[in-house]
Amino acid sequence: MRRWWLGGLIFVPAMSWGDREEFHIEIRNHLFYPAEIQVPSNTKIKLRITNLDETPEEFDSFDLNREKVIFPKRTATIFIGPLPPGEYTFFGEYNPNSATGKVIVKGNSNAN
Amino acid sequence: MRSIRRNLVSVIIATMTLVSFYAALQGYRSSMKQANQLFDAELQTYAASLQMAANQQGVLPMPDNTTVAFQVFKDNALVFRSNNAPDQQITAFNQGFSDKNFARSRWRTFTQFHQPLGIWVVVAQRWDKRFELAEGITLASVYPTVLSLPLMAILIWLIVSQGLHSLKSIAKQLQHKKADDLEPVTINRIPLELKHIIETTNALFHRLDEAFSREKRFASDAAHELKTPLSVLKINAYNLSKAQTSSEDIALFDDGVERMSHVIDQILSLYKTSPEQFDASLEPTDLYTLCQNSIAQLYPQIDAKDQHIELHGQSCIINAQPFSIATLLQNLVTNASKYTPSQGEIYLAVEQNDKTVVLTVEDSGPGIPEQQHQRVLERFYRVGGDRHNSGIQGCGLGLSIVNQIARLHHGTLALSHSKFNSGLKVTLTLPAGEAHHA
Amino acid sequence: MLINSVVLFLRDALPLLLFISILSAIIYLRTNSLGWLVKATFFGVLGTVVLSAFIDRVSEGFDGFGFELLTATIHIMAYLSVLLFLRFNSIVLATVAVSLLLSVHGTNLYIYSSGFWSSASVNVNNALLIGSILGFGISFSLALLLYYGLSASMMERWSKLPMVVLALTAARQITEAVYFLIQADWLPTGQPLWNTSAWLSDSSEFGHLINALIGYEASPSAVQVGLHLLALVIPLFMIMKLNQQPTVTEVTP
Repeated sequence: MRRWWLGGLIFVPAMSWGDREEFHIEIRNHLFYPAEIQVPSNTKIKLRITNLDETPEEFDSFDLNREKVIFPKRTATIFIGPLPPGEYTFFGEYNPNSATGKVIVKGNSNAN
Repeated sequence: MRSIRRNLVSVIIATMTLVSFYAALQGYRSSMKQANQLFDAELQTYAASLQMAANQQGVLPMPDNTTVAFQVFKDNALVFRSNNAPDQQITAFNQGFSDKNFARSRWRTFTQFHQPLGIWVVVAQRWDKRFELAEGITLASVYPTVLSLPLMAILIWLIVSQGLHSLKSIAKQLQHKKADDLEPVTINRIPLELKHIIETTNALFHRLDEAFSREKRFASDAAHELKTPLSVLKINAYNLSKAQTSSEDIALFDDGVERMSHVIDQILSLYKTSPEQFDASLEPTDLYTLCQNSIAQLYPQIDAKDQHIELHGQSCIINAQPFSIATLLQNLVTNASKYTPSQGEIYLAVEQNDKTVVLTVEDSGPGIPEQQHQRVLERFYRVGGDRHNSGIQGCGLGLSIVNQIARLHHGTLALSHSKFNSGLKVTLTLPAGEAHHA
Repeated sequence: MLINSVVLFLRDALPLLLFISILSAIIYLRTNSLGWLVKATFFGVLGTVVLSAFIDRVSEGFDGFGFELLTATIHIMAYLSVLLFLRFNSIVLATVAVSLLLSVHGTNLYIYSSGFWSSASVNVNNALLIGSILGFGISFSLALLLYYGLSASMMERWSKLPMVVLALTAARQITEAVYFLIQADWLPTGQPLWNTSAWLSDSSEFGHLINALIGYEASPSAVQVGLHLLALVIPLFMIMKLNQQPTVTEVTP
């Protein structure tokens, strides 16, 4: 897989994308399904979000420091983590009152 | 071009918009928060009232426009629900509020366990519906803020325009002024901020008006004054051309030339010390030293008339332009010598007072009648007019020059009788300079 | 929905309007003309139309990070334009910077309107409209006040202030680019160095303002802080050098 690093000066743990655990979220009727996902702590994970609606939606989270537009009928990828255990809320910027959800980061000891 | 009105109106409207919109936003936020609490309280009441349905079973049909759904569980089995609730358990049996997705919507849920009856009640309300309801009410309070903004903008514009009315009026008067119209500008009820501008402008107009009329008079006076020696010169020249040259004729010719060059010198002095030309860079100058220099320079003339001259006083510093003061002294001493008969007295004194330096020049000449004291300061005025009988050359500019220089140095000039039996006393009062100045 | 449409304006219209007002204040004092802004708006709107038409396809590129990479590139180009503007003083470069930023922020607003305004309810649409008016009103007022403030400061003693503020907003472009590069996994995420969200939250109105002006981030990582400082030091250094130039030319005959 092709990788692009700026300048090559910045050290990044050597870890290919394939190693990362993937999580899937769907957007239907301006809602996230599932609205809660559990991820392991202190690990970088890959979140794939598919928008099944006819209008764009923006995955937005101040807690996770991410904002990404997902165009209609497309799938977008977001990397999150490594994160300490806790709850991180996210919402759909364009339907913020109904499209809400959270990422629950479980500590390693509690992982099941 | 920057415009005061445009800047003021823009800045005021921007500030008002910012403040009122921010306030509206905060108002909206707290209203929505309260509405949310209200809805939550309503859900709790609803859950409590469902105790009544402890023995009900089946599916309750709800009206189409309902925003709520419920489930009642007995012994972990769903026994009673609204027709808009799914037949699976909506949320885990944890007492309290949570958010869940079902039936293509996001719901606010409240779960309660009724101990005596042993039933779990789950009530839910659609987030989008309750949000819509709350927002509908809250928006009503935001509309006025937004809708009143254009009105506010128009009012601000009118108020600022009105406030700048007097400025505009002055600008208009100045704009439409003809070049020769030096009448002062006026507006009703001058505002404080414009007082200085109007006063300064009108003072400027006044000075210009005076200067113009002075120049007009000056030109005709100067022409007249130059014409007399010229006609004399013409006769002399005619006589010389007849080749009947006598030493008397040449002396007269010389006299004529002398007189003309004196008039021209004096006109030049007057011009150089006019307020329009005057270089205002004043420096600390010793008046006493300047007096000594003037007397030394004019001594041959005084000596020729066998006059007695005295200088009293000590070194006094004034802020002055030395060249102008020298011209002033030269004029005063020359006048004194000129009008004082042979063997007469000339007395100079320089005196340092608290805040002033006073120079007096007294002579034992014929003096000037008191009623003419003011007039002699005018240009080209001579005591006795054209029929000046003193037989002494002069053009009537000397005291004008002295007066002009005195005024440029913020000083005053006063004429009076001298301490001698007859004669003129000239008193010049100047502000004292900074003694400690380097 | 009102708050969200306000937030979208604070996020996309505010930084753009502040940037324009700073450049306008600097340029207007020199040229007494805002003609360049008309040109920049024209090219910016053109850019918005083109970007909006292709953005969903662009976003598919580069392993699904096309949007992030394009946005980051445009912000970096805007930053470079500001640097060149400081160096060569050419109004063309200011026009380029504003056109670029208008394109990217305009596209964001277009995506928002296509995603947002689809709701059918009259109530919701009213809320969106009022929210847009509030958001635009607040952004425009802030920009106008900044413009007048900077214009006034240039006539007073603080004549360097507009340049310094321009440097701050320029550095913000890099922060913005870094944010997207991190999201695209081109730069490492790293742990946040600090977290000031309790003191000033990213999501508050004031947080948005400070972000729009200087690129405030409540919990930045080391990479973000480092690159931001670097991006700030370069233009500041250039401004310092610019200020020294007149004295140099005075000394040499």
